[in-house]
Amino acid sequence: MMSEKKLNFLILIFLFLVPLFSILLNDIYITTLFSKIVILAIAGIGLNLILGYGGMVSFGHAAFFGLGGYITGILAFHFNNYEPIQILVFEFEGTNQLLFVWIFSLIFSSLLALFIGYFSLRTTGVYFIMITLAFAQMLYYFSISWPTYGGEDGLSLSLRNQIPFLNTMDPITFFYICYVWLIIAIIFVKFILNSPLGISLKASKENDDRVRSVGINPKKVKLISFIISGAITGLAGSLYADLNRFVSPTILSWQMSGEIMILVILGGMFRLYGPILGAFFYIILEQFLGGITENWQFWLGLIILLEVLYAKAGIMSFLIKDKYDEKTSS
Amino acid sequence: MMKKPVLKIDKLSKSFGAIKANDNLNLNLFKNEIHALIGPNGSGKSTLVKQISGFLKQDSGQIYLEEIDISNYSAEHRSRMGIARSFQISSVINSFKVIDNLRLSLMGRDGGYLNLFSNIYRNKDYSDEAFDLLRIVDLTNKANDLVSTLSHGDKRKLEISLALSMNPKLLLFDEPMAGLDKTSSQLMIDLFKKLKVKAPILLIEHDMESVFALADRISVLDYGSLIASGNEKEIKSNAKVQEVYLGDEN
Repeated sequence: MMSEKKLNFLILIFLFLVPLFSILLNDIYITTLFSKIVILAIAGIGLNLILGYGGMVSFGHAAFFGLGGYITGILAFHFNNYEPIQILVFEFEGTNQLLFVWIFSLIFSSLLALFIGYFSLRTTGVYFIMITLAFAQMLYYFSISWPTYGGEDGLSLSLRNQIPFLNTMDPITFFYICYVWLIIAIIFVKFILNSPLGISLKASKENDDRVRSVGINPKKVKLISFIISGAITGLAGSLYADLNRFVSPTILSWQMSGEIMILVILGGMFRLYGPILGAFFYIILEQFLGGITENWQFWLGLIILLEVLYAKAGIMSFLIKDKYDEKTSS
Repeated sequence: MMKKPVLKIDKLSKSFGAIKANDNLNLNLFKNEIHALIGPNGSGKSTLVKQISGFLKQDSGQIYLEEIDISNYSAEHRSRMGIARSFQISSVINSFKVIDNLRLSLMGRDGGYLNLFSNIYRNKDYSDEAFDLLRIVDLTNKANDLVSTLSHGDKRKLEISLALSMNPKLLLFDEPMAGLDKTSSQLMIDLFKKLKVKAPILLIEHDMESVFALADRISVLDYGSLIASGNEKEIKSNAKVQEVYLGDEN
């Protein structure tokens, strides 16, 4: 058992050293695998902001993840075939520059989150779950029926998008790009959690009436948090598309939303680093159990079942000593 | 010259289906006054508090705070204008520390709740003000305790300090003495006597001993209608009040 701060530090150090292990073991696949873990962790951190700290059970975060992915794919697609993107009477060039791709992913994911959040946050509980799911499924079916960008078959990127002076095709370079984004996401969300918005979000999770009676509009607080959450998840989707050099409707599906939610719950909601541990165990279990049996999801389900029954605060709660565990998880 | 009321309620009505919770209600609250609202359960007292604080929309009628018509303002807007309330059942953030509940309300009062980048836990002004407020209700020694570990009485005290943190122009207390022991009730009575100078209090209370000890004026509700209003002597001698409410007390 150790303090949460110490565990968080160890997680970051371990991730930083992953490429070194990969070189020592002469297996570059480890670095690629951990790039996926880091990207899913970023998506989880995005979801955890509203799920763990805001109590909003969004079952539609694949919409943001997928949109980020598709924006990356579409920009690269148009860059490669020299055809401009046409939106109404406007025409835009494609790009293979990651800095622009990220900016577009962040902007469009935020706008989508504003749209979905505006309508979804009129509801609570099971209705909120259903409406977020419905929005994501709409996008999923739209992507399937859009042949320009591959429809059901998806869209391939011939090369990863680029950053000046860096070789993004190198797995280690790409891993560190993802790692830097993970650090940025952690710092950003930590700032939010200690800010007036963060304390309002945590309070509105428990008691909207109290929040309103001290002059705070909980709907505004939740909507802005939802937008930030969507933007972070959208960025993760963009990195995911570049990692795989492929994007398909699968990343817009409800299974993807479920996957992000599972890794948040597995690692530990209410913990900033919980989704990192969750993504690590999820992918490792997928690899390990997947090598043993085709029905690895069954065993994963069993593990989640046990966790929900006996350790609501997730894997983090096994590894750290924290006197507020029970209270914060209730 | 006539005194101007801090709170004026003008022909306020609210129905739930066929049940009239408040029926054409008129009520004023003046400076330096504790105005107690009494009546049997279901007479519409809490409904009135909810409408004044903006948690429930009235069907008809107007609510004025210092002559401003606030009838269509949201609850959070009214809170920032200085309408502070406590709830019938203690309503605090249980997973927060005591002092963080106050940090939340102080920040809400100042309206900067959408700020992303200032660290509220390091805001010294809020910490100092929070301790000042906790001193008023004698809770400084529990500032860093989790609210979920507090006793019922301490939660009541915290609610009062939260109401005070809003720089109130008007205090709405819904059964603040419910469930308190004699000592805590007496502490509340002494506290309210001091507070009414800062902001007038509309007090809903079933404990008649406390009501008579505190109230400058008492209004009695029955089936959503005001049946009497006056001082202790007038209320005690009112036959209708005796029949519908005080008679039961004996």
